[in-house]
Amino acid sequence: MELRGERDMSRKKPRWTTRLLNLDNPPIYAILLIFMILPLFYPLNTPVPVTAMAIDLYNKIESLKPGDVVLLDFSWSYSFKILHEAGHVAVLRHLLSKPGVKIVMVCFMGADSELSWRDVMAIVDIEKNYPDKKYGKDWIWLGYIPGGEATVLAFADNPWAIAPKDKYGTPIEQYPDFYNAVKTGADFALVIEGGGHGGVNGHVTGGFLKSYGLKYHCWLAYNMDPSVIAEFYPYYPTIIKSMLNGNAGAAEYERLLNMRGAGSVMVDALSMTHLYVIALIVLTNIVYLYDKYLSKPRSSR
Amino acid sequence: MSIFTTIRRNIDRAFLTFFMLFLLIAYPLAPTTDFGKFMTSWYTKITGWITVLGAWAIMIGVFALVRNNLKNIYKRAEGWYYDAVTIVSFVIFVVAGFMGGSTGPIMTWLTTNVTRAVSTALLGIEAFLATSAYYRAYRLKTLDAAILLISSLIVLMWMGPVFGYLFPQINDLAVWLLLNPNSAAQRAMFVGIGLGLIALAVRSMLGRERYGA
Repeated sequence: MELRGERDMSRKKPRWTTRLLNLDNPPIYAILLIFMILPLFYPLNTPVPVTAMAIDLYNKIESLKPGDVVLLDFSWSYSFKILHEAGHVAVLRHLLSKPGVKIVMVCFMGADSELSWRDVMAIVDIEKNYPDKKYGKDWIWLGYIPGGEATVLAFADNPWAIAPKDKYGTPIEQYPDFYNAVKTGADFALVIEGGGHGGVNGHVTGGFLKSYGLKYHCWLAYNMDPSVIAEFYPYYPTIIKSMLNGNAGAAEYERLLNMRGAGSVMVDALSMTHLYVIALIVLTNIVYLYDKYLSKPRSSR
Repeated sequence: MSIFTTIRRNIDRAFLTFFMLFLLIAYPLAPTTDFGKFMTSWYTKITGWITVLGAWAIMIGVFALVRNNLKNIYKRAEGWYYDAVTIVSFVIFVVAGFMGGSTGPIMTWLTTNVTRAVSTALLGIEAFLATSAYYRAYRLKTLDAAILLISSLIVLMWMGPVFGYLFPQINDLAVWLLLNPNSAAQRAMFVGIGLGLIALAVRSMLGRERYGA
Protein backbone atom coordinates (compact mmCIF):
# COMPACT_ATOMS: atom_id res chain seq x y z
CA MET A 1 0.00 0.00 0.00
CA GLU A 2 1.23 3.43 -0.91
CA LEU A 3 1.60 6.03 1.75
CA ARG A 4 0.46 9.52 0.92
CA GLY A 5 3.85 11.05 1.54
CA GLU A 6 5.58 8.52 -0.72
CA ARG A 7 3.19 9.17 -3.59
CA ASP A 8 3.67 12.92 -3.38
CA MET A 9 7.42 12.46 -3.45
CA SER A 10 7.28 10.22 -6.55
CA ARG A 11 5.18 12.78 -8.49
CA LYS A 12 7.10 15.62 -10.03
CA LYS A 13 5.46 18.97 -10.47
CA PRO A 14 5.34 19.69 -14.22
CA ARG A 15 7.73 22.36 -15.47
CA TRP A 16 6.33 25.81 -16.28
CA THR A 17 7.07 25.16 -19.95
CA THR A 18 5.04 21.94 -19.94
CA ARG A 19 2.15 23.67 -18.20
CA LEU A 20 2.27 26.49 -20.72
CA LEU A 21 2.20 24.01 -23.60
CA ASN A 22 -0.88 22.31 -22.18
CA LEU A 23 -3.01 25.31 -21.35
CA ASP A 24 -6.76 24.82 -21.30
CA ASN A 25 -8.87 26.58 -23.90
CA PRO A 26 -10.56 29.29 -21.75
CA PRO A 27 -7.54 31.63 -21.40
CA ILE A 28 -6.72 31.23 -25.13
CA TYR A 29 -10.32 32.02 -26.03
CA ALA A 30 -10.53 34.95 -23.59
CA ILE A 31 -7.50 36.68 -25.09
CA LEU A 32 -8.83 36.10 -28.63
CA LEU A 33 -12.15 37.64 -27.59
CA ILE A 34 -10.36 40.73 -26.27
CA PHE A 35 -8.41 41.07 -29.55
CA MET A 36 -11.69 40.77 -31.47
CA ILE A 37 -13.78 43.17 -29.41
CA LEU A 38 -11.30 45.95 -28.61
CA PRO A 39 -11.07 47.33 -32.17
CA LEU A 40 -14.86 47.68 -32.24
CA PHE A 41 -14.73 50.19 -29.38
CA TYR A 42 -11.36 51.75 -30.18
CA PRO A 43 -10.90 51.78 -33.98
CA LEU A 44 -7.22 51.39 -34.77
CA ASN A 45 -7.40 52.40 -38.43
CA THR A 46 -4.83 49.76 -39.25
CA PRO A 47 -3.13 50.48 -42.56
CA VAL A 48 -4.13 48.30 -45.50
CA PRO A 49 -1.68 47.65 -48.32
CA VAL A 50 -3.52 47.50 -51.64
CA THR A 51 -2.72 44.34 -53.62
CA ALA A 52 -2.40 44.02 -57.39
CA MET A 53 -5.68 42.06 -57.55
CA ALA A 54 -7.76 44.92 -56.15
CA ILE A 55 -5.92 47.43 -58.36
CA ASP A 56 -6.61 45.30 -61.46
CA LEU A 57 -10.35 45.20 -60.75
CA TYR A 58 -10.37 48.93 -60.02
CA ASN A 59 -8.57 49.68 -63.29
CA LYS A 60 -10.92 47.39 -65.21
CA ILE A 61 -13.99 49.22 -63.87
CA GLU A 62 -12.31 52.54 -64.59
CA SER A 63 -11.79 51.46 -68.21
CA LEU A 64 -15.48 50.54 -68.77
CA LYS A 65 -17.15 52.59 -71.48
CA PRO A 66 -20.79 53.78 -71.66
CA GLY A 67 -22.94 50.90 -72.89
CA ASP A 68 -20.73 48.18 -71.41
CA VAL A 69 -22.73 45.55 -69.51
CA VAL A 70 -21.47 44.07 -66.25
CA LEU A 71 -22.79 40.88 -64.65
CA LEU A 72 -22.81 41.25 -60.87
CA ASP A 73 -23.59 38.03 -59.05
CA PHE A 74 -24.81 37.84 -55.45
CA SER A 75 -24.46 34.08 -54.96
CA TRP A 76 -23.51 33.91 -51.35
CA SER A 77 -25.69 32.37 -48.74
CA TYR A 78 -27.17 35.00 -46.44
CA SER A 79 -25.27 33.42 -43.56
CA PHE A 80 -22.00 34.47 -45.23
CA LYS A 81 -23.03 38.11 -45.48
CA ILE A 82 -20.20 39.07 -43.15
CA LEU A 83 -17.58 37.81 -45.65
CA HIS A 84 -18.91 39.20 -48.92
CA GLU A 85 -21.14 42.20 -48.34
CA ALA A 86 -18.48 44.87 -47.83
CA GLY A 87 -16.67 43.94 -51.06
CA HIS A 88 -19.84 44.00 -53.13
CA VAL A 89 -20.94 47.32 -51.66
CA ALA A 90 -17.60 48.92 -52.63
CA VAL A 91 -17.59 47.40 -56.12
CA LEU A 92 -21.24 48.31 -56.78
CA ARG A 93 -20.60 51.91 -55.70
CA HIS A 94 -17.69 52.09 -58.12
CA LEU A 95 -19.80 50.61 -60.95
CA LEU A 96 -22.62 53.06 -60.30
CA SER A 97 -20.19 55.97 -60.43
CA LYS A 98 -19.30 55.11 -64.03
CA PRO A 99 -21.61 56.88 -66.48
CA GLY A 100 -23.52 54.67 -68.92
CA VAL A 101 -22.32 51.34 -67.50
CA LYS A 102 -25.17 48.78 -67.32
CA ILE A 103 -25.38 46.29 -64.47
CA VAL A 104 -27.20 42.94 -64.54
CA MET A 105 -27.65 41.67 -60.98
CA VAL A 106 -28.45 38.02 -60.35
CA CYS A 107 -28.01 35.21 -57.83
CA PHE A 108 -27.79 31.46 -58.36
CA MET A 109 -26.91 30.14 -54.91
CA GLY A 110 -30.17 29.83 -53.02
CA ALA A 111 -33.34 31.72 -52.38
CA ASP A 112 -31.82 33.41 -49.33
CA SER A 113 -29.19 35.03 -51.60
CA GLU A 114 -31.94 37.47 -52.54
CA LEU A 115 -31.68 38.78 -48.98
CA SER A 116 -27.93 39.26 -49.54
CA TRP A 117 -28.82 41.44 -52.53
CA ARG A 118 -31.46 43.31 -50.53
CA ASP A 119 -28.95 44.22 -47.81
CA VAL A 120 -26.34 45.44 -50.30
CA MET A 121 -28.96 47.56 -52.03
CA ALA A 122 -30.10 49.00 -48.70
CA ILE A 123 -26.55 50.18 -47.98
CA VAL A 124 -25.83 51.49 -51.48
CA ASP A 125 -29.32 53.06 -51.78
CA ILE A 126 -29.32 53.78 -55.51
CA GLU A 127 -32.41 56.02 -55.47
CA LYS A 128 -30.90 58.37 -52.91
CA ASN A 129 -27.19 58.28 -53.74
CA TYR A 130 -27.33 57.76 -57.51
CA PRO A 131 -30.59 59.46 -58.59
CA ASP A 132 -29.54 59.50 -62.26
CA LYS A 133 -29.36 55.68 -62.33
CA LYS A 134 -32.70 54.25 -63.43
CA TYR A 135 -33.99 50.71 -63.13
CA GLY A 136 -34.31 49.08 -66.55
CA LYS A 137 -31.93 51.54 -68.15
CA ASP A 138 -28.84 51.35 -65.97
CA TRP A 139 -29.44 48.24 -63.91
CA ILE A 140 -31.77 45.25 -63.67
CA TRP A 141 -32.32 42.59 -61.01
CA LEU A 142 -33.06 39.06 -62.18
CA GLY A 143 -33.47 37.58 -58.71
CA TYR A 144 -32.69 33.99 -57.80
CA ILE A 145 -32.41 31.53 -60.69
CA PRO A 146 -32.43 27.89 -59.50
CA GLY A 147 -30.43 25.01 -60.93
CA GLY A 148 -26.90 25.65 -59.66
CA GLU A 149 -23.95 24.99 -61.95
CA ALA A 150 -26.04 23.73 -64.88
CA THR A 151 -28.02 26.98 -64.90
CA VAL A 152 -24.89 29.13 -64.61
CA LEU A 153 -23.49 27.37 -67.70
CA ALA A 154 -26.74 27.73 -69.65
CA PHE A 155 -27.13 31.38 -68.58
CA ALA A 156 -23.71 32.09 -70.06
CA ASP A 157 -24.79 30.57 -73.40
CA ASN A 158 -28.15 32.27 -73.64
CA PRO A 159 -28.96 34.58 -70.71
CA TRP A 160 -32.44 35.66 -71.75
CA ALA A 161 -33.60 32.09 -72.43
CA ILE A 162 -32.77 31.21 -68.82
CA ALA A 163 -34.04 34.53 -67.42
CA PRO A 164 -36.71 35.77 -69.85
CA LYS A 165 -38.16 38.09 -67.16
CA ASP A 166 -36.65 40.14 -64.38
CA LYS A 167 -37.49 39.62 -60.71
CA TYR A 168 -40.60 41.77 -61.04
CA GLY A 169 -41.99 39.81 -64.00
CA THR A 170 -41.14 42.30 -66.76
CA PRO A 171 -39.87 40.65 -69.97
CA ILE A 172 -36.24 41.52 -70.67
CA GLU A 173 -37.27 42.56 -74.22
CA GLN A 174 -38.69 45.68 -72.59
CA TYR A 175 -35.17 46.64 -71.53
CA PRO A 176 -33.53 47.02 -74.96
CA ASP A 177 -30.29 48.37 -73.48
CA PHE A 178 -29.76 44.95 -71.96
CA TYR A 179 -31.65 42.67 -74.34
CA ASN A 180 -29.88 43.89 -77.46
CA ALA A 181 -26.46 44.32 -75.87
CA VAL A 182 -26.15 40.81 -74.45
CA LYS A 183 -26.68 37.65 -76.47
CA THR A 184 -24.09 35.38 -74.85
CA GLY A 185 -21.73 35.48 -71.89
CA ALA A 186 -19.03 36.89 -74.17
CA ASP A 187 -20.99 40.17 -74.33
CA PHE A 188 -20.42 40.96 -70.67
CA ALA A 189 -17.54 43.41 -70.35
CA LEU A 190 -16.97 42.28 -66.79
CA VAL A 191 -18.30 39.41 -64.67
CA ILE A 192 -18.06 39.62 -60.88
CA GLU A 193 -19.01 36.54 -58.91
CA GLY A 194 -19.87 36.88 -55.25
CA GLY A 195 -19.09 33.71 -53.40
CA GLY A 196 -16.22 31.31 -53.67
CA HIS A 197 -17.75 28.83 -51.23
CA GLY A 198 -17.09 25.19 -52.06
CA GLY A 199 -13.92 26.09 -53.91
CA VAL A 200 -13.38 25.61 -57.63
CA ASN A 201 -15.85 22.72 -57.63
CA GLY A 202 -18.52 24.73 -55.83
CA HIS A 203 -21.73 24.33 -57.78
CA VAL A 204 -22.07 28.04 -58.57
CA THR A 205 -18.49 29.30 -58.36
CA GLY A 206 -17.28 26.35 -60.44
CA GLY A 207 -19.96 27.17 -63.02
CA PHE A 208 -18.68 30.74 -63.34
CA LEU A 209 -15.14 29.49 -63.80
CA LYS A 210 -16.15 27.00 -66.51
CA SER A 211 -18.53 29.26 -68.41
CA TYR A 212 -17.32 32.87 -68.17
CA GLY A 213 -13.68 32.03 -67.48
CA LEU A 214 -12.83 29.02 -69.61
CA LYS A 215 -15.48 29.18 -72.35
CA TYR A 216 -16.12 32.86 -73.03
CA HIS A 217 -12.84 34.29 -71.69
CA CYS A 218 -14.63 37.15 -69.94
CA TRP A 219 -12.86 39.49 -67.57
CA LEU A 220 -13.76 37.44 -64.49
CA ALA A 221 -13.42 38.61 -60.89
CA TYR A 222 -14.43 36.95 -57.63
CA ASN A 223 -15.43 38.56 -54.35
CA MET A 224 -14.02 35.68 -52.44
CA ASP A 225 -14.56 33.64 -49.32
CA PRO A 226 -11.00 33.92 -47.89
CA SER A 227 -10.97 30.32 -46.67
CA VAL A 228 -10.87 28.95 -50.22
CA ILE A 229 -8.78 31.59 -51.99
CA ALA A 230 -5.75 29.26 -52.27
CA GLU A 231 -7.86 26.89 -54.38
CA PHE A 232 -8.46 29.58 -56.99
CA TYR A 233 -4.84 30.65 -57.36
CA PRO A 234 -4.07 28.09 -60.11
CA TYR A 235 -6.53 30.06 -62.29
CA TYR A 236 -5.07 33.46 -61.45
CA PRO A 237 -4.29 35.67 -63.39
CA THR A 238 -4.89 33.85 -66.69
CA ILE A 239 -8.58 32.93 -66.22
CA ILE A 240 -9.61 34.72 -63.04
CA LYS A 241 -8.29 38.25 -63.38
CA SER A 242 -8.97 39.48 -59.87
CA MET A 243 -9.98 38.18 -56.45
CA LEU A 244 -11.12 40.30 -53.52
CA ASN A 245 -10.03 38.45 -50.40
CA GLY A 246 -13.12 38.84 -48.19
CA ASN A 247 -13.06 41.82 -45.84
CA ALA A 248 -9.35 42.46 -46.42
CA GLY A 249 -10.07 42.73 -50.15
CA ALA A 250 -13.05 44.97 -49.43
CA ALA A 251 -10.85 47.24 -47.29
CA GLU A 252 -8.32 47.44 -50.14
CA TYR A 253 -11.06 48.39 -52.57
CA GLU A 254 -12.48 50.97 -50.17
CA ARG A 255 -9.01 52.49 -49.93
CA LEU A 256 -8.86 52.74 -53.72
CA LEU A 257 -12.22 54.53 -53.66
CA ASN A 258 -11.07 56.79 -50.79
CA MET A 259 -13.97 55.71 -48.60
CA ARG A 260 -14.20 54.02 -45.21
CA GLY A 261 -16.80 51.27 -45.23
CA ALA A 262 -17.50 48.04 -43.38
CA GLY A 263 -14.39 46.38 -44.82
CA SER A 264 -12.08 49.00 -43.31
CA VAL A 265 -13.85 48.67 -39.96
CA MET A 266 -13.56 44.89 -39.88
CA VAL A 267 -9.96 44.88 -41.01
CA ASP A 268 -8.94 46.17 -37.55
CA ALA A 269 -10.28 43.03 -35.88
CA LEU A 270 -8.84 40.91 -38.69
CA SER A 271 -5.35 42.33 -38.20
CA MET A 272 -5.52 42.09 -34.41
CA THR A 273 -6.70 38.47 -34.34
CA HIS A 274 -4.06 37.48 -36.90
CA LEU A 275 -1.46 39.25 -34.76
CA TYR A 276 -2.60 37.23 -31.74
CA VAL A 277 -2.65 33.89 -33.57
CA ILE A 278 0.80 34.44 -35.07
CA ALA A 279 2.23 35.53 -31.71
CA LEU A 280 0.63 32.47 -30.11
CA ILE A 281 2.20 30.11 -32.66
CA VAL A 282 5.66 31.71 -32.41
CA LEU A 283 5.68 31.83 -28.59
CA THR A 284 4.35 28.28 -28.28
CA ASN A 285 7.13 26.99 -30.50
CA ILE A 286 9.82 28.88 -28.58
CA VAL A 287 8.47 27.37 -25.36
CA TYR A 288 8.21 23.96 -27.03
CA LEU A 289 11.87 24.03 -28.13
CA TYR A 290 12.96 25.22 -24.69
CA ASP A 291 10.90 22.46 -23.07
CA LYS A 292 12.62 19.91 -25.31
CA TYR A 293 15.97 21.36 -24.32
CA LEU A 294 15.10 21.12 -20.61
CA SER A 295 13.90 17.53 -21.06
CA LYS A 296 17.37 16.41 -22.08
CA PRO A 297 19.71 15.19 -19.33
CA ARG A 298 22.02 17.92 -18.08
CA SER A 299 25.08 16.10 -19.39
CA SER A 300 23.87 16.13 -23.01
CA ARG A 301 22.70 19.77 -23.10
CA MET B 1 -31.87 -13.45 -75.10
CA SER B 2 -34.55 -11.54 -76.97
CA ILE B 3 -33.95 -8.13 -78.49
CA PHE B 4 -36.38 -6.58 -75.96
CA THR B 5 -34.44 -7.99 -73.03
CA THR B 6 -31.22 -6.61 -74.49
CA ILE B 7 -32.81 -3.17 -74.92
CA ARG B 8 -34.32 -3.28 -71.44
CA ARG B 9 -31.01 -4.19 -69.87
CA ASN B 10 -29.05 -1.54 -71.74
CA ILE B 11 -31.51 1.33 -71.96
CA ASP B 12 -30.09 3.17 -68.94
CA ARG B 13 -26.58 2.88 -70.36
CA ALA B 14 -27.77 4.09 -73.77
CA PHE B 15 -29.41 7.19 -72.21
CA LEU B 16 -26.33 7.85 -70.13
CA THR B 17 -24.02 7.55 -73.15
CA PHE B 18 -26.26 9.76 -75.31
CA PHE B 19 -26.51 12.57 -72.77
CA MET B 20 -22.83 12.39 -71.81
CA LEU B 21 -21.72 12.66 -75.43
CA PHE B 22 -24.28 15.38 -76.19
CA LEU B 23 -23.19 17.55 -73.24
CA LEU B 24 -19.54 16.89 -74.06
CA ILE B 25 -20.04 18.18 -77.60
CA ALA B 26 -22.43 21.02 -76.68
CA TYR B 27 -20.45 22.46 -73.76
CA PRO B 28 -17.64 24.15 -75.74
CA LEU B 29 -19.96 25.45 -78.49
CA ALA B 30 -21.12 29.06 -78.48
CA PRO B 31 -24.44 30.04 -80.14
CA THR B 32 -22.71 31.88 -82.97
CA THR B 33 -23.34 29.36 -85.78
CA ASP B 34 -26.57 27.50 -86.68
CA PHE B 35 -25.16 24.27 -85.30
CA GLY B 36 -23.99 26.11 -82.16
CA LYS B 37 -27.44 27.67 -81.72
CA PHE B 38 -29.15 24.28 -82.11
CA MET B 39 -26.82 22.58 -79.65
CA THR B 40 -26.89 25.34 -77.04
CA SER B 41 -30.70 25.60 -77.21
CA TRP B 42 -30.92 21.86 -76.40
CA TYR B 43 -28.21 22.33 -73.77
CA THR B 44 -30.48 24.95 -72.15
CA LYS B 45 -33.47 22.57 -72.31
CA ILE B 46 -31.51 19.73 -70.72
CA THR B 47 -30.38 22.16 -68.04
CA GLY B 48 -34.05 22.75 -67.26
CA TRP B 49 -34.54 19.01 -66.88
CA ILE B 50 -31.58 18.88 -64.49
CA THR B 51 -33.28 21.56 -62.37
CA VAL B 52 -36.54 19.57 -62.33
CA LEU B 53 -34.68 16.36 -61.47
CA GLY B 54 -32.89 18.26 -58.70
CA ALA B 55 -36.26 19.37 -57.30
CA TRP B 56 -37.45 15.75 -57.26
CA ALA B 57 -34.23 14.69 -55.54
CA ILE B 58 -34.92 17.30 -52.86
CA MET B 59 -38.42 15.87 -52.41
CA ILE B 60 -36.93 12.41 -51.86
CA GLY B 61 -34.53 13.94 -49.35
CA VAL B 62 -37.38 15.69 -47.55
CA PHE B 63 -39.37 12.45 -47.41
CA ALA B 64 -36.37 10.56 -45.97
CA LEU B 65 -35.69 13.32 -43.42
CA VAL B 66 -39.29 13.40 -42.16
CA ARG B 67 -39.66 9.62 -42.09
CA ASN B 68 -36.38 8.94 -40.24
CA ASN B 69 -36.90 11.70 -37.70
CA LEU B 70 -40.52 10.71 -36.99
CA LYS B 71 -39.40 7.10 -36.57
CA ASN B 72 -36.79 8.15 -34.01
CA ILE B 73 -39.33 10.25 -32.11
CA TYR B 74 -41.89 7.40 -32.11
CA LYS B 75 -39.28 4.91 -30.84
CA ARG B 76 -37.91 7.39 -28.30
CA ALA B 77 -34.44 6.66 -29.70
CA GLU B 78 -31.40 8.26 -28.07
CA GLY B 79 -31.46 12.01 -28.68
CA TRP B 80 -35.03 11.88 -30.03
CA TYR B 81 -35.60 15.47 -28.90
CA TYR B 82 -33.10 16.65 -31.52
CA ASP B 83 -35.24 14.92 -34.13
CA ALA B 84 -38.26 16.72 -32.72
CA VAL B 85 -36.45 20.06 -33.08
CA THR B 86 -35.63 19.16 -36.71
CA ILE B 87 -39.25 18.34 -37.51
CA VAL B 88 -40.61 21.47 -35.79
CA SER B 89 -38.05 23.69 -37.59
CA PHE B 90 -38.85 21.99 -40.87
CA VAL B 91 -42.59 22.56 -40.46
CA ILE B 92 -42.10 26.22 -39.46
CA PHE B 93 -39.90 26.93 -42.51
CA VAL B 94 -42.23 25.09 -44.91
CA VAL B 95 -45.27 27.01 -43.61
CA ALA B 96 -43.32 30.29 -43.81
CA GLY B 97 -42.30 29.44 -47.37
CA PHE B 98 -45.89 28.85 -48.42
CA MET B 99 -46.94 32.11 -46.75
CA GLY B 100 -45.20 34.72 -48.90
CA GLY B 101 -42.45 32.76 -50.61
CA SER B 102 -38.72 32.67 -50.01
CA THR B 103 -38.46 36.44 -49.58
CA GLY B 104 -41.79 36.98 -47.85
CA PRO B 105 -41.89 38.79 -44.50
CA ILE B 106 -42.04 35.65 -42.30
CA MET B 107 -39.26 33.87 -44.16
CA THR B 108 -37.14 37.03 -44.16
CA TRP B 109 -37.62 37.38 -40.41
CA LEU B 110 -36.74 33.72 -39.84
CA THR B 111 -33.70 33.86 -42.12
CA THR B 112 -32.41 37.08 -40.59
CA ASN B 113 -33.06 36.29 -36.95
CA VAL B 114 -32.65 32.53 -36.81
CA THR B 115 -30.67 31.07 -39.73
CA ARG B 116 -28.19 33.90 -40.12
CA ALA B 117 -27.76 34.35 -36.38
CA VAL B 118 -27.03 30.64 -35.88
CA SER B 119 -24.74 30.39 -38.92
CA THR B 120 -22.80 33.51 -37.96
CA ALA B 121 -22.41 32.16 -34.42
CA LEU B 122 -21.04 28.91 -35.87
CA LEU B 123 -18.60 30.87 -38.03
CA GLY B 124 -17.54 32.81 -34.94
CA ILE B 125 -16.99 29.61 -32.95
CA GLU B 126 -14.77 28.37 -35.79
CA ALA B 127 -12.37 31.25 -35.07
CA PHE B 128 -11.95 30.05 -31.47
CA LEU B 129 -11.56 26.40 -32.45
CA ALA B 130 -9.02 27.30 -35.16
CA THR B 131 -6.98 29.34 -32.65
CA SER B 132 -6.94 26.41 -30.23
CA ALA B 133 -5.88 24.09 -33.06
CA TYR B 134 -3.05 26.46 -34.08
CA TYR B 135 -1.86 26.52 -30.47
CA ARG B 136 -1.87 22.73 -30.05
CA ALA B 137 -0.95 21.39 -33.48
CA TYR B 138 1.57 23.82 -34.94
CA ARG B 139 4.75 22.53 -33.32
CA LEU B 140 8.23 22.27 -34.80
CA LYS B 141 8.43 18.51 -34.34
CA THR B 142 9.84 17.43 -37.71
CA LEU B 143 11.26 19.01 -40.85
CA ASP B 144 7.89 18.53 -42.65
CA ALA B 145 6.09 20.25 -39.78
CA ALA B 146 8.61 23.10 -39.91
CA ILE B 147 8.00 23.65 -43.64
CA LEU B 148 4.23 23.61 -43.10
CA LEU B 149 4.52 25.93 -40.12
CA ILE B 150 6.70 28.51 -41.84
CA SER B 151 4.61 28.59 -45.03
CA SER B 152 1.40 28.83 -42.97
CA LEU B 153 2.83 31.70 -40.96
CA ILE B 154 3.70 33.58 -44.15
CA VAL B 155 0.19 33.10 -45.59
CA LEU B 156 -1.39 34.01 -42.23
CA MET B 157 0.64 37.22 -42.18
CA TRP B 158 -0.54 37.97 -45.72
CA MET B 159 -4.16 37.42 -44.63
CA GLY B 160 -3.76 39.91 -41.77
CA PRO B 161 -3.37 43.18 -43.69
CA VAL B 162 -1.27 44.98 -41.07
CA PHE B 163 1.67 42.60 -41.62
CA GLY B 164 1.67 43.32 -45.33
CA TYR B 165 1.94 47.01 -44.48
CA LEU B 166 4.72 46.55 -41.92
CA PHE B 167 6.70 43.98 -43.95
CA PRO B 168 5.82 44.41 -47.65
CA GLN B 169 8.07 41.46 -48.57
CA ILE B 170 5.57 39.16 -46.82
CA ASN B 171 3.00 39.89 -49.55
CA ASP B 172 5.41 38.91 -52.32
CA LEU B 173 6.47 35.78 -50.47
CA ALA B 174 2.87 34.67 -49.76
CA VAL B 175 1.78 35.31 -53.36
CA TRP B 176 4.83 33.35 -54.57
CA LEU B 177 3.82 30.45 -52.30
CA LEU B 178 0.23 30.56 -53.57
CA LEU B 179 1.18 30.94 -57.23
CA ASN B 180 3.97 28.36 -57.35
CA PRO B 181 4.02 25.44 -54.87
CA ASN B 182 0.28 25.75 -54.13
CA SER B 183 -0.79 26.10 -57.77
CA ALA B 184 1.56 23.34 -58.94
CA ALA B 185 0.22 20.88 -56.38
CA GLN B 186 -3.40 21.83 -57.05
CA ARG B 187 -3.02 21.64 -60.83
CA ALA B 188 -1.54 18.16 -60.49
CA MET B 189 -4.50 17.24 -58.30
CA PHE B 190 -7.05 18.71 -60.75
CA VAL B 191 -5.47 16.85 -63.68
CA GLY B 192 -5.63 13.64 -61.63
CA ILE B 193 -9.29 14.26 -60.78
CA GLY B 194 -10.04 15.05 -64.43
CA LEU B 195 -8.42 11.84 -65.65
CA GLY B 196 -10.30 9.90 -62.98
CA LEU B 197 -13.61 11.45 -64.12
CA ILE B 198 -12.88 10.56 -67.76
CA ALA B 199 -12.14 6.98 -66.73
CA LEU B 200 -15.37 6.89 -64.71
CA ALA B 201 -17.38 8.27 -67.66
CA VAL B 202 -15.89 5.71 -70.09
CA ARG B 203 -16.51 2.87 -67.64
CA SER B 204 -20.10 4.05 -67.15
CA MET B 205 -20.71 4.18 -70.90
CA LEU B 206 -19.27 0.71 -71.34
CA GLY B 207 -21.37 -0.64 -68.49
CA ARG B 208 -18.31 -1.52 -66.42
CA GLU B 209 -19.28 0.74 -63.54
CA ARG B 210 -21.78 -0.83 -61.15
CA TYR B 211 -23.54 1.90 -59.19
CA GLY B 212 -24.73 1.00 -55.75
CA ALA B 213 -23.17 -2.46 -56.02
